[in-house]
Amino acid sequence: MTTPIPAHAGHWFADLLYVVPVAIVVVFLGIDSLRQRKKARDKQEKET
Amino acid sequence: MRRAVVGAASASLLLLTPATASAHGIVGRQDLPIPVWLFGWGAAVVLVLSFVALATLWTEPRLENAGDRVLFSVPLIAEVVAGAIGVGLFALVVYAGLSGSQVPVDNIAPTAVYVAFWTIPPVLGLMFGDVFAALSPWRAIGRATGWVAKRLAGDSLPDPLAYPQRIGHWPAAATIFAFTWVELAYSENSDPSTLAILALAYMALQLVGMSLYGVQAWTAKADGFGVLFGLYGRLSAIFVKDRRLRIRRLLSGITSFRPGAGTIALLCVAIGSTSFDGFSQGTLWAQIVPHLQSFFGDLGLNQRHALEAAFTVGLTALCLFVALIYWLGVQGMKTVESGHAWRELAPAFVHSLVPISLAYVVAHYFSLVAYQGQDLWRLASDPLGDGSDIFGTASRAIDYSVVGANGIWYVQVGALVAGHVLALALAHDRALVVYQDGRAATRSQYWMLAVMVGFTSLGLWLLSATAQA
Repeated sequence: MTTPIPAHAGHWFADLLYVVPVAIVVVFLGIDSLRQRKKARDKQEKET
Repeated sequence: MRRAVVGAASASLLLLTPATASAHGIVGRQDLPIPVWLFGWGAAVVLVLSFVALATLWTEPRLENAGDRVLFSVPLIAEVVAGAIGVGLFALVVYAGLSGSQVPVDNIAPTAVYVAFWTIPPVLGLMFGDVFAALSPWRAIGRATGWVAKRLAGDSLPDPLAYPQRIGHWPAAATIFAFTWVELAYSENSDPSTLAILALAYMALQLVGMSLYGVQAWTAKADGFGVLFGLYGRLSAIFVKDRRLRIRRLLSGITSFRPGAGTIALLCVAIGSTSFDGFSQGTLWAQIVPHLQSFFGDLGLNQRHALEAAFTVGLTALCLFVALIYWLGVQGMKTVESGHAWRELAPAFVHSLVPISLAYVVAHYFSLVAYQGQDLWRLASDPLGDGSDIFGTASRAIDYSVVGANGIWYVQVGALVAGHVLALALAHDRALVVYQDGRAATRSQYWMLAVMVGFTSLGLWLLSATAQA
């Protein structure tokens, strides 16, 4: 069993920084998907 | 090959020093002006800007069905000479492997296989087209045999069997996986005689395949190296067709590639195995591998095989991880406009993985070629390691000052960013064809942008982990 060493947190944090650009793009995709769904729903409501 | 250099080292030594035993070369520490992770952010910004530029300026497909023009004819003798060179080099490597010194650094076979054969044709492919097809020893022997058989048998020679479409590129994917398994997981990976025997076995398999299905069909589908290096060659502006050297728009050659069964697997294995090559040199893998090894040891495997099993799991996991990223990207694209299924979209955009795969090769193996590649001069003079000095270069040492740690890093980052920008351009061009409507095409490419940013971040993280190790 490996015990997490607090001093290694710096390394993990540095590694996590690589994920930030991916996370930003994914959040943008999520927002865009929600916006598109809302748009489609509004369009459907208007038609009915 | 990193492990090939220290190849004779035992599996237990590898376990003790999994990160350092396979270092690309001792090149000193990087002294970069900004933190390494900031390069990842910078690369992502470049990709986003490229994406915006493509969406606004690239409104019509420009690569699909782009034409070409003939530069000059290639004489038949050039093909024959290139094939003969390929066969000669193959024979030299096999002979050296079987008859030469079994110390990996003294024998040309490991360096020839892992450096000259595995890393140089992709780059030559990008620059000069499918060079490997001309040099491929099994293709040359297959064609020569076919020519002789036709002369002797005439019309009585039976037609080759039809290559099964459902098998497609699966044999090629299996070949690349097997080769990278030998390189990265097999404990005897740098043993010269083992490499020679494996090369002969592969040659035999290719000759049987070509005799059954024909040289063209077999090399285009089942010869893993021929298919993969051929894909890299399709990115080039130069190519040979009907014995004529032609020029075309850069990248346009890959758009005419027709993927089949196993194509996605082939490219995921190509990217995943290169990723694992970097990952297996990092500290995270060094922490994981003892647990995996002890797990397989508990199942009854000895230390050596347990380590091989652990590396096999790692290699497979990285290939599957790459496939997962691509799968997520295509699943996302499906949500943009109804009527486009996975079966249509996944093969339609798979060609955009080719420049990414090439970028990973350049980024991960640049230092290997820069340093270990120099050793080919020494080994060419003494290929068997028996003390000969054919060209007077047997005492030539590797010059580590040709490029420094910073230079390597900039080349790696540049290759990764350029490869992913080219991939974005290919995917965007294809989206304009698939979706017809420019707005839908752009929206579908948000997902490919996410895939590209993911692959770039992964690549840079792997490279930085390797540099730290």
